[in-house]
Parts: sequence; C-alpha cells; structure tokens
Amino acid sequence: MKRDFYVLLFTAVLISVMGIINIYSITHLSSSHWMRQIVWLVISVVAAAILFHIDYLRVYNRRWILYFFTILLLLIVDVMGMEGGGARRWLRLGSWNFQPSELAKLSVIIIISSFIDQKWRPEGWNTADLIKMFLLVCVPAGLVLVQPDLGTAGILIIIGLLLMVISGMRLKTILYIFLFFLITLPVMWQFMLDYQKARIIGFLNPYSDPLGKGYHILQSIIAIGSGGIEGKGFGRGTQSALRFLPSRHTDFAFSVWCEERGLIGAVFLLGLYAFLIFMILRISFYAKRRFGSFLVIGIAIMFMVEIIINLFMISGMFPVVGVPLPFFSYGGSSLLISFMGIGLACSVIWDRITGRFV
Amino acid sequence: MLYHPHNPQHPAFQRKVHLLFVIFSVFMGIILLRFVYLQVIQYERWWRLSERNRIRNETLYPERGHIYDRNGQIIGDNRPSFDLYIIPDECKEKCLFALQRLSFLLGINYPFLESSYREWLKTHTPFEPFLIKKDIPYDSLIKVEVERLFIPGIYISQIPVRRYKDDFAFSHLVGHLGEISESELKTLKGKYALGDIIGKTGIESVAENFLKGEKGWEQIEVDAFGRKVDLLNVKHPVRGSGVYLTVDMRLQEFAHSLLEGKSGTIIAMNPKNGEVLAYAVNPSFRASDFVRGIEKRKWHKYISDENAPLFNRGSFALYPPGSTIKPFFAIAALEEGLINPNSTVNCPGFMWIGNRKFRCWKKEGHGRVSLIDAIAASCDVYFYRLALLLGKERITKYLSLFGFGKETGMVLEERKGLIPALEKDYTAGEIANVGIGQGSILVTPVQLLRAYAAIVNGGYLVKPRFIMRISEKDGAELDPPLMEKLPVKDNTLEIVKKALFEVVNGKMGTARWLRSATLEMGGKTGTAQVVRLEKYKFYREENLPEKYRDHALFVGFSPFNDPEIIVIAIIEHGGYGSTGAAPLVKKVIEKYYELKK
Repeated sequence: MKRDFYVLLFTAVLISVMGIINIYSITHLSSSHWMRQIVWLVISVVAAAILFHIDYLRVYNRRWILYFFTILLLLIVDVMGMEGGGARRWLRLGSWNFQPSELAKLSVIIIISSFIDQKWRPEGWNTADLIKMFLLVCVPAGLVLVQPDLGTAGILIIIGLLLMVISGMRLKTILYIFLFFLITLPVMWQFMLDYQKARIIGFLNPYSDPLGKGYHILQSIIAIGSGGIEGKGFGRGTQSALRFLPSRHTDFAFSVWCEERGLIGAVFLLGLYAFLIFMILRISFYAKRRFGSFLVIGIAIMFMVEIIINLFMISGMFPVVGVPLPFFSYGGSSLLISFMGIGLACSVIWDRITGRFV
Repeated sequence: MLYHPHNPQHPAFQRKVHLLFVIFSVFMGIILLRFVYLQVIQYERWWRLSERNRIRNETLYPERGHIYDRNGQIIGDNRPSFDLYIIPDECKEKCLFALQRLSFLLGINYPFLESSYREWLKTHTPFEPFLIKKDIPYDSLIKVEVERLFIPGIYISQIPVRRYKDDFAFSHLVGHLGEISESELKTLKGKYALGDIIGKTGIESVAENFLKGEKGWEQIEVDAFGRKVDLLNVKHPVRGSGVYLTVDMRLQEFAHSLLEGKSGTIIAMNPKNGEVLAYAVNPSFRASDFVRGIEKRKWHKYISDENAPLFNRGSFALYPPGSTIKPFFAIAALEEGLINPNSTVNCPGFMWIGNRKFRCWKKEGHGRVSLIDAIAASCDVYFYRLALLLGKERITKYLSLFGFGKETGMVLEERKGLIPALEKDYTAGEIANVGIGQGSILVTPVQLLRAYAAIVNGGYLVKPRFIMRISEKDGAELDPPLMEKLPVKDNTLEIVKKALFEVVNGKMGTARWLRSATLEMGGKTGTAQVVRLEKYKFYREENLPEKYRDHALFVGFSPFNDPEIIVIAIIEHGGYGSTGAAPLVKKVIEKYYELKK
C-alpha cells in the first residue's frame, strides 16, 4: 500500500529529472534555469513526503482557511503582482517567484471535494447546490482570468465541472450546462483580450500571421516533426538551439524533447504519464470517505487536463493558452503544486493501511 | 453507507473512475497518433524545415504605381533590381572565400569588402544577411548564378525599383526618390521601415500615398545555398495606384530637347483649365540615380555642380520679369481709368526722373506711341510713366491680383516671388523700374505663365494642375482644379490681349518675325537684365561673357480667339526675349498643333 506512494513519487521524479535534462539541453548555454529547477524539485519532493504523512482530514478541516488564503493571494497578485509576458501572475519571494494560480487548483479541488462529501445526494445534484459549487470555482477562476491567464482559469472550471459530473449530475443538467457554454462562448469572445483572441485566431489558421501567434505553433510542429522516430540527440535540437521556439523551456518544453528524443522519447514519456494517472486514480478506491476519493479524482483530473491541453497545444490541435506540462516544464510553482498533489492524493492511502472507518 | 453508489468501494463508482481513465486514454491515443503523424509520416517535411534556419521570412516590396502622361504613355514604371548578400551562418568558414570570389566576379575591391565585412560582424548575428552589392547589373548576376553552387551562403534579393522612360526630361516634374530619412520615419510612423524608398520631390512626393502600394511578405524554405525550395506562405504585395499627369509626354520631351545646352524653363499650359501640358526644366538630373537612394559620391557631384541641376527652375527660380510685366501695368492703368487706349505718349528714347536719365531699350526712341503700340514695341518710356502714374499702392494691388508675390497653390513646391511692399518706401526711380519688370519684382515662371493665362482666358486666375487621374479616380483628390474670376473688365483684357497679338503680328511688334498666319499667336517678349560689372556696361549683348548676358523671356499663346495653349520660355543668359526665347515658344506651339492632329 505504502509502496504506491513510492512508485508514484518515483515516477514523478523520473519525469521531472527528464524535464530538467531537457531544460539543461535548451538553456544551459544562456541561463541556469536547470539549477533552479533542481532546487525546486528537492523542495517539492520534501513537500510531497510531508503531505503524504499528514492525515488528509486535517487538510479537510482547514479547507476554508486554505480557500480564502488562496483568494487573498490571487487578489494580491491581481493588484500588485509581477508582470511577465503581459500578465500579472507571480508573487515575488526573495529571488524566487510563486504563482498563486497554481495553488488555486489544489484549493478548488479540496473545497469542491469537501462540498461533495457533505452535500452529496443519491438522486443527483439539485440546482442550488450546483450553483453553489459553481460559485466556489468561479471566484478563484475569475481572479485568475483577470491576470490574465486564460489557461489556468479554464483548467479550474474544467476540474470543477468534471468533479460535479462524476459525483452525480443528471443528464439533463449536463445538457443545460453544455448549452449554456455554447451560448456564452460568443459573449466571452467579446471580453477576451486582444492577445488571447490573436492566439485563438492563430490556432484556427496558423498561417494567418506566421510572424505572430501562429509562429509558435508552426515552430513547435517543426520541432516535433523534425525529431523523427529516434530524435536528433541531446543538445541537437536545432530549432531550440537557434531559438526559434519561444517559451521553449516552459510551455513548449515537450516539443524540444520530441525533437531531441524523437517518437521513442515521446512515447516513453506518454507512457509514464498514463501510468501516473492510472496509479493516482487507483488510490480513489482506497478511500473510506467520499472526500478522500474525490480529492484523489480531482488531483488526477488536474493532471489529465494539463497533460492533454499542453500536448494538444504543442502539436497544433489546441490554441496556445499557456498551460505547462506538469512535472516536465520549467516552473517552480507548477512543480511544487504537482508534487503536493501527489503527496495529498497518496495520503488517502492511509485509509486503507490503517483500515480507518469514518 | 458502504454500498452507496458513491462509496469508493461501490462498483458503480468504480465504473465511473474506469470510464474517466478510458476517456483520458482516448485523448492520449489521439496525441500518440498525432505524434506518429508528425514524426513518422510527415517527418521528411519537418526535418527539412528545421535544418538551420531554413525558413526565411521576407518582405515583398510592392511595385511603385506607374506614372503616365495624359494619353496613358508610361513615364515611370518598374524594373527588377537584384541585391547580393551572403549569410555568414550558411557559408561558415568559407565566407571569406565566398567574399573573395564574389568581389572578383563583381569587380569590387576585396580588401575593402573584407574589412567592412569584419566590421559588420561585430554588430550583427551570423543569421543576418550581409549586403555585398546593391542593384547588381544583369551580366554580373548571370556570372554569380553560374558559380552559385560553389559559393555557399549566397542570397540574392529581388525588388522592384522605379524605371523612367526618359531619365532627364521629366526629372523636375516627376521629382526624385530617396531612402527614407530618420525624421520622415518619425513623422510617418508605422507606415515605413528603415531603408524604404520614398518620394522626395515632385510628383513622386506629392502622390507618395497613392504610388507606394502595399508591402507583402513570404515565408520561404531555402536550402543551404539559399535557393528557394518551397514557398510556405505568401501575402502578395499590392502595386501602388497609377498616376496620370496632365502633361503630354511628346510635348514635354520636345520642349526639353529645345533646352538642350541651355539653362531655363519651358512650361506649356492650357489657359482654360490650368492643365500643364509640358514642364521642361534644364539642366536636369538623371532620375535613375535616385531610385534606390543616391550614392554619396553622386550626390556631392550634383550639389557641387554650378549649373544646379537639382534646382527646379520652373517653380523655384525667381527672375525679374522684364518687359513681360508691362501688360499688367497696362491693365492696372486701364482699370483705374488713368489712360485712354488711344491717347499717345512721346518716346524720345529716354526720360528724366529726378536727375537720372532712364533709357528706353530703343536708343532713338519710338516716337508717339499708343498703349497697343507701347506693348507691341515694348516701349520702356511709356511704362516708366505708367508706373509713376499708378504709384506703389495700385501697382502692388494689381500685381498681387494677378498672383504675383504669392503662391499659385500648385502641388509642386514653389516660391512666392517678390513685389513692391506696401510698408516700404521707394524712390520714383525704383517705381519706374518696376514698370519695366526690373528691381523690386521677381517672379517664378509658373506665376508669370498663369498671370498671362488670366489675360487670355477672360480673366480667370487658374491653378496650374499636374495630376489628372489616379488610377480610375479623378485626380481632383490630390490636385483639385481652382479658378478665380478676377475683378477686371472684359474690355480691358480685350485691349491688352489685342496688344499681345500685335507683339507678334504688328508692324512694330518685338517678335514680328515669328508671325504666322496659321498659328494666330500672341505673346510678349521680355529681357531681364542680369546684374553686370561696370566694365561690361557698354558691351553689345552678343559679345558679353555668357553669365552676364540677359535672361530671355517669352510668353506666347494660340490661337487668338479662345486660346488653348499658353507657353512660357525663360532662357537664362539667353539674350533678347525675341531671339532667345520666342522662337522656342513658337516651336512648342507648332508641335502642340502637330500632335493634336
């Protein structure tokens, strides 16, 4: 049982180490990103171990504190955060930056899981509860959206919605929500910022502006495709070495991996991710309480959505929305929160080990 | 509790979790297929593209809009121009070899090229192309193409550049191009990039917005030799709009040929609507020297040339009008009722003003002359008297009425000229001198031409127009026609016009040897004195060194009734107006009728 935690931790560390090698290959000539990422990895592993050993019900008891703390951080970022790429996303802590929108993912998962735990009813959600849950998701999602960070805000909404669906939503309600989104989509378009619109247009027609937003996608596809089956080898990513790929160590890190390691490397990593998700989802069966199982499912959904969106994005099947690949992309906050997710999910294993019955 | 459908151990719940994993797996499968598609099936294509900066983004320069004459004959179109570059990143260690070979093929000084290349490398990345030579001639291009496979890193760009049908005849009208300056770049923010070519003077500058067209770009894939392998994406440039000028190409070229070896201006205009039919200025410059931005060496040659070939004499030169100003004094005096056209004045050949003797150009004098005779024979004494009779205020009023001393409002850059100022005091002698177009009066050729047009077209002061159409649109957008009816009696104008006819056709006319029954030409001669040194005072005109000779002026129109063409010729140091300028005007008018047939 406890072995599950070590297997998961090992898998995550393995992906992270490959990520660091990848970051090293891309940026070692110009910066020490890779060293920072190692420091973050050590911190993250420790954090995961601590969370694993903490009884997750203690988290459950402090959920509101965590939730409002997150909202406070998001407000601070919105008001006085650091600018980066035209958006305010970071909080500065000494020489390290932290992205509260990453923390928001965990907070939303915890608050929704506990809501499900308390209010669950066998016949499915009623409208009032759905609206309450939706509001719980929308407050942090809205604060993230105005940073502006379309990708993370979208992920928060998707996590919330999927948790609601799995915990028992009536078919009719699902249809209504679907219709609602269909109708609000054009309205949302009106409120989007120019650069966000440009990205979506660039995605729909990458050739519309090859020097602008479509450029990212085209360059990323060239990087992936040119890797072939075996890849060009370590440090040989010509696309990256020549710096044609922007955000090559963050959102597009996997493109470079594909270029240097080819299809073999890509499949290996995809396999690791699938294994990781499988292992996490399995833990949901160990829980003795709904909170535990939905907490685990929520964390799994978080990873799934991030992985799918990122990979779709870099291979030109989804607009560039700025979602990092968990464990793999450069970025301390993302790494820390991902490992904390692993630790939190694994702490549910204790239900099975101790045979606790709540 | 335990067997609740949402208890983690309940099979219904577990089914949902399994379903979630299946959905995730489907997405991962899609991603896997996509990667297989990109990395296996399309591998070749992407691999080719990824090879060392093999995608190039290039600006495609538009063709500049053509310039046509009134009949649609091309005055300026475009030709391809080739620039030769090398890209250091592509020739690597063979760059110096490439430079050496290319300098040999193009006949460039190699040590100089190498040192400028090394200098350039310090401030640029190796991916940027290094310019070896701009606008290489076609035969050099062929030589380079032949050896291209052996010289790595070559890059040849092709852009359209302006080509003029006649390099000299239209230069001052069409103007010249040039590389955009920093101040222009600032004021025209966003529309241009560094190194762009822009109209600097003349029509090229006036119609810049219409001529310039729209840039495009292309994304091309090139191989290691810089040759285009594949066109990935393109936005075609859009050619600028065509501009149709009012001039007749053949008339302009003819007029320009008449100026061969002379300094001066011939301008022909339709007096009814101000459409300029010919605008010839000499000395002129080679317009093609400017099409890609002029080289410093050539520029210095132009500005140090004492004949001032860049000087637009048609609109910018100021000349004393000489006798050509006389008809306007006649109009002023008639309008003010100071004279009777039939009353006569005796011209003994001179006149005392104060204690100075003012001479008539004809030493023996004209005898008794009426107004018409005075204009026809260009009697100076008559006009000394008229000027004194009118006085400064009325002179200024009528001169400015006919557009002297102010801009004509035409699209080309111009100068105002000079007329006696109201606030200044003049001696009687100075006023008398203005009566024969000397002293405090300076005019541009265009000013003088349109003032005459107002006499012969029934009193309308027209704005000279140069742009007839822009593509299919009316040129009025850029060069609107403008006409002003002068408050002058028709009768007055008729009398003066008759006098102008007598100049060519009368017994006493100063240009009587140009008389032609078919042309029905009228006009006025003028001889503008050039300040000369004391020692040349008593020289005969023909024996003077050229730069001290007088300027010859003539304004002529045809036919007498309802004139359709009016021409001015000003020949610097051309001697007498009747011999230096008038024959040229006659030839232009003859040519006009010949072309009309």
